[in-house]
Amino acid sequence: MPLHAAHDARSIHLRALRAAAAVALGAACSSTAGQNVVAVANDTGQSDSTLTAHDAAAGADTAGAPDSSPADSPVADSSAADTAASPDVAAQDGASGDAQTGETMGGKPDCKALGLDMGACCTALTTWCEAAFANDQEARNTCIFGPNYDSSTGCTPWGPPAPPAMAVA
Amino acid sequence: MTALVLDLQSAARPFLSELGELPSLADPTAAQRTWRARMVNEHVSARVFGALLGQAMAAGLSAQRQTQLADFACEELRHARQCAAVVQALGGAAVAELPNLPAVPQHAEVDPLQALLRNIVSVCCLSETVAVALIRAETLQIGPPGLRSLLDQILADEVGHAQFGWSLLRELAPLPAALEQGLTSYAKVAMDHVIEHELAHLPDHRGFGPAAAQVGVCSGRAARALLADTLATVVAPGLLSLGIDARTPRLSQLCEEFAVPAGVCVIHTAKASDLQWAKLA
Repeated sequence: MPLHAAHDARSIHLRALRAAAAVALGAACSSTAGQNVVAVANDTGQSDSTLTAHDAAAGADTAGAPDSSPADSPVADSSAADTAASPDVAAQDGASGDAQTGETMGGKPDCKALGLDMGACCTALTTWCEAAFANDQEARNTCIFGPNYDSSTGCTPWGPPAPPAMAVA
Repeated sequence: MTALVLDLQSAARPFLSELGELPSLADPTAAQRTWRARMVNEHVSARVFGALLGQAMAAGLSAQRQTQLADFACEELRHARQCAAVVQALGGAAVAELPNLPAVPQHAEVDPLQALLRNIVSVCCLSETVAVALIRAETLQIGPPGLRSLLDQILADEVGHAQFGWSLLRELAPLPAALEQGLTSYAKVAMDHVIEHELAHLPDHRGFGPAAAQVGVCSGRAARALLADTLATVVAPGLLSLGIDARTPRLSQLCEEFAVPAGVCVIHTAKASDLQWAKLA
């Protein structure tokens, strides 16, 4: 059975919701909204690192496909961004973070630490990622928001048919 | 009037080889029907972005943003061919009658910027953001790697389409009060519209089992719950943080039906600084 077939319905629902939150709420990583969405995900008993590990594995399913270049798959195939900057891996694991400063050994802010000013940390993370991936938007998104916009970095991306024809009075 | 027919049999072939073989289903009818409907929906939605391009020019958006809209139209046409390839891989014909195509409203009664933003709110912030959630859920259930790869490409594009709208609104924030009011009035109309549109396309069933789910025929009931949650806990608060109140009684009703906690749907503040989010747990 493929790995992703093992997800339960609640887990699928929450991951999908986080993807939408990542897109819609994007830049506002200090938003309480994002934190709630992440909190709900954590309520399932899965840690962020578990989610990241899973999504990385799921991404690997398609990593070798001819059309899975980062440019084509910014959301689903973000593993390239993880490997592009090796310090990120440690940062996303949370293994080397400094809870006081939120900064990892490699200099990348770790916004998962408790007690941080999330807004300031996510702003710093955004700055760091923009410098690290200046020319690769997909990698930058993964760096800021995590693979598949799963918020595993601690930052929910800022907070984000034919339209109806009826006129507004 | 003779119905127009969309025939993507030939156009789908290049994607067929990338897709690989799909598992054979005892009854592939539901899967074929699902992907054929997607083929049509994706194809005709290209015209929406085409219309937005004209509005973006009238409103004076940057050349880069105009180019993005043109790209989005092409992406929707490609999605249609990709969905057509799935229909063929499932043993069906990538041919369908096109529905009546309502014109994309130009909103001539308001200035060009508000006219554009009305459609941006509807298309990018509502429809495409919901699409991100629904497709993301589906990718987590897809089995065959070739199909997963195809859906990942579509998801990536949908993310871009949604981001376009949210980022444009954030660039323009804070919106002038009159524009906020105008967009709030319209967003309520658009909210109810997207709810009815999505419910019409998400049959209220619990799926056709794991085999069907692995080729993209998921539980419509679960998708409806995700729709409710996305609109109530992501879209409405996101718009509210920009001064646009899209909450409606219909959204509250949807929340009630799918047990999204009432607090989420009754947010009394209007600014990001004091936006209150109800706990979902």
